[in-house]
Amino acid sequence: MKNEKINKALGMLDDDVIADALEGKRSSFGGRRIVTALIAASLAVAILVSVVLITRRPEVNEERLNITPPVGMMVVKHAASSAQITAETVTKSGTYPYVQSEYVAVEPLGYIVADGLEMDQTLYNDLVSSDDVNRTWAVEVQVSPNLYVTNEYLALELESILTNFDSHRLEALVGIYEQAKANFDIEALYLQYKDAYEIDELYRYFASGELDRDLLNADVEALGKKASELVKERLEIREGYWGHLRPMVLSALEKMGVPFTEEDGALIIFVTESELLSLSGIEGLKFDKSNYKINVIEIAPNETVMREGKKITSKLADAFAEYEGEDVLFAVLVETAGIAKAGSREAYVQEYISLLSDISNRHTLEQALERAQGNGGESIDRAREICGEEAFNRYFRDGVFDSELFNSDTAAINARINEMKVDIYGDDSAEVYDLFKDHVRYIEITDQGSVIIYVTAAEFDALNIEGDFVFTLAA
Amino acid sequence: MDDKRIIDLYFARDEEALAQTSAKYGALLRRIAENILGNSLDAEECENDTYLSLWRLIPPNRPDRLSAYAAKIARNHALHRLEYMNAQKRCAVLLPTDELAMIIGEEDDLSAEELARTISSFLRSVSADERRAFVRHYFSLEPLERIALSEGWSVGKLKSMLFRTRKKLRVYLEKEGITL
Repeated sequence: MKNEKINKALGMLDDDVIADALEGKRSSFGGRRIVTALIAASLAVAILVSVVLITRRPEVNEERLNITPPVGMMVVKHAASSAQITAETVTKSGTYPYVQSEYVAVEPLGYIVADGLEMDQTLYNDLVSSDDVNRTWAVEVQVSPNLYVTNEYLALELESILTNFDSHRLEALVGIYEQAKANFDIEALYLQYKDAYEIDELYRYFASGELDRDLLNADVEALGKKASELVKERLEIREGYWGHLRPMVLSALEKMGVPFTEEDGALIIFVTESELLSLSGIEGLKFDKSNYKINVIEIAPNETVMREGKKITSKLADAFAEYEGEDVLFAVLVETAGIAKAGSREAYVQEYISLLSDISNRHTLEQALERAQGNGGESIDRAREICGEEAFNRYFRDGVFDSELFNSDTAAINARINEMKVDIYGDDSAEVYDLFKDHVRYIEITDQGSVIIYVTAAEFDALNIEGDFVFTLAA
Repeated sequence: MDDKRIIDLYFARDEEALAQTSAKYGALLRRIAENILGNSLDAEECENDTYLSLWRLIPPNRPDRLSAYAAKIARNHALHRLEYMNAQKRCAVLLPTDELAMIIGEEDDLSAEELARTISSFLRSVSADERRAFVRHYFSLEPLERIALSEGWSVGKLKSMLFRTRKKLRVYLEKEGITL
C-alpha cells in the first residue's frame, strides 16, 4: 500500500520539476561521457589513481537534442584519500597494514536490503546519520543466509532439480518408447515429442533394439551422484561456509582496491559509503557494522613543495611531473590558510584522522561501559580491554559509568573535528571561488564546501593569485 | 516545433498534434514505459495509449510543460499495465521505489497529492544533478547504469548521490512534520 502511494505521488510531481530533469538541464560541467579506468600508481605511497576520460558524447538522447557536448578533453584525477591503500599492499602483507586491530563482534540488529545490499540495521542507521562521505567504515562481510535465493545459487538449485528430473525423464522416455515400439510407430512418437525430448536419447538405450537397462541404471546413478554433490555444496553454503564464494569475493575486493583484513575468520573491509554501495554487484553477501577499532591510520607523505611560487603537495607535484607538457587536466583542491596556520600539515591531518577514528569508536566504548555497569565481573574486564586503562578509569568509577562526562568528552571531540574540518577545507569557499573563477577552465564547489579547480600543469604554473593556498590533488 | 504550438494544434483538434508529440517526445515516452514494463511491445502500446489520453485531455487542459505532462501519463499507463501483468502472473518487476518506501513512513493520513507536493518542493531545493538523478531513477525508473553512462558519472557516484538525496529527503520530510 505504501509503495502504491509513493508511486502515485511520484506520478504527480510538479511538471516543472520533472520537465527540467527530463529535458536535461545540466550543470555547466555536464554533457560528457566519462570512461573510468584504474591505473596502479607507483608512487611511494599507496595512491589510487583513476583516469577519467572525458570525451565528446557519441550519441545524444533524443530528448536532449538541445544540449551541446563540450569539446573532448582528458582529465586525470588522482583519488588520494589519506586512508586509502591499494589492494596490492593488502595482499602482500595479508592484513591491513595501517590498522592496529581490535575486533569486537557486534550483534546485528537485523538485516535490511537497501541500495541492493543486505546490511545490518546498525550499519544502515550509521550510514544514514553520518554526513561525512569520506569516512572510512569498518564493515564485516558475511555470507547471506539468503544466499540460495541469489542468482548464482538459484542456478545451482535449478541445475540440481533438473538433474534429478533427468533421471525421471529417462524413465519416462523409456516408457514412451516402449509404448511406441509396441505400436510400431516410432515416427509418430518422434513427431509428437520432438520438441520436448532429444530423440537420440531414446536410441541410445535401444541401440540393440532392446532396452539397455544397465546403461540406463548407470546413467541414473551418475546423475543422482551429481545431484547429491550439488545439494551438499548448496547446503554447506547455506550453513555459512564460504566455500568457493570466498576466493570470488576476495578477488572482487582486490579488483576494486578495497582494503580488507581477516580476523578470527571474519572478513573486515575498510570502505567509504560510496565504495560500500558499489559492492552491491557481488551477490550473496551481507554486511555488518564492525567495531573493528581503527587505532592508527598512517598518513601518506603529503609534505608541500614550491612550484612557480605556489605551495603544492608532493602528490600533485608528482602528478604534474608525470604528465608534464601534455594537455591533461588535473582536479586540484584549493586549501586555504588554516592548514598553513596549523604548522605541520601532515601532523595536523594525522590528528584530524585520529580524532575521526576516536569518534567512530566511542559508540563501542559506550556500549561496553553500559554493559559493565550492570553486569560486573567479566563485563568490566571486557570494558577495560575495549576502552584501554586510561579511558576506563576516566569513565568508570566505583562501578558506575559516568555517561555525563563521556558525552561531554564526545561533544568536545566533535567540536574539535568541526573546527579542524574548517581549517582543512576552509569556510570561505565562495571567496576562493571568486578569486579563481576567471583564471581557470573549470571550477566547482563540492558538497563539502571544498573548491576544486581543473587545470593543466602549464595553466597552473601561469596562475598568479594572491593568497596563502595549498594545492593538492582532489580525492 | 515548440510545445505551445503543439498544444495549439491539440486545441484546434488537428491530428498533426499527435505526430509532433510523437516526433518530439515519442522516444522519451517509450523509454519510460519500457523501463517499467521491460519490453518494447508493451511499451509501444503504452505510448499509443498516452497519445490517446493527450488527445482526450487537451483541451480542456493546457499543460505548461508538455514533456512532463505526457511523461506522467505514460508512466501511469505503464504502471497500470504492470499491475495487470503482475496480477496475471505474466511478469514480476521490482521497482526502485522500494528504496523510497524505506524512508517514507506509514502515514495513513497523508495523501499522495500532499506527498507529491512535498517531494516536488524538496526536489527544488537540491542541486540540479541530484534532482535529475532522482527524477530519472524514481520517476522515469531508468536503470542506474544507463543514467550513469549518459550523465558521465560512475555507478558508484550515482548510487551515493541517490543515497544522500534520500537521506536529505528523509530530513526534509521530518521538518515538514511527516513523521517516519
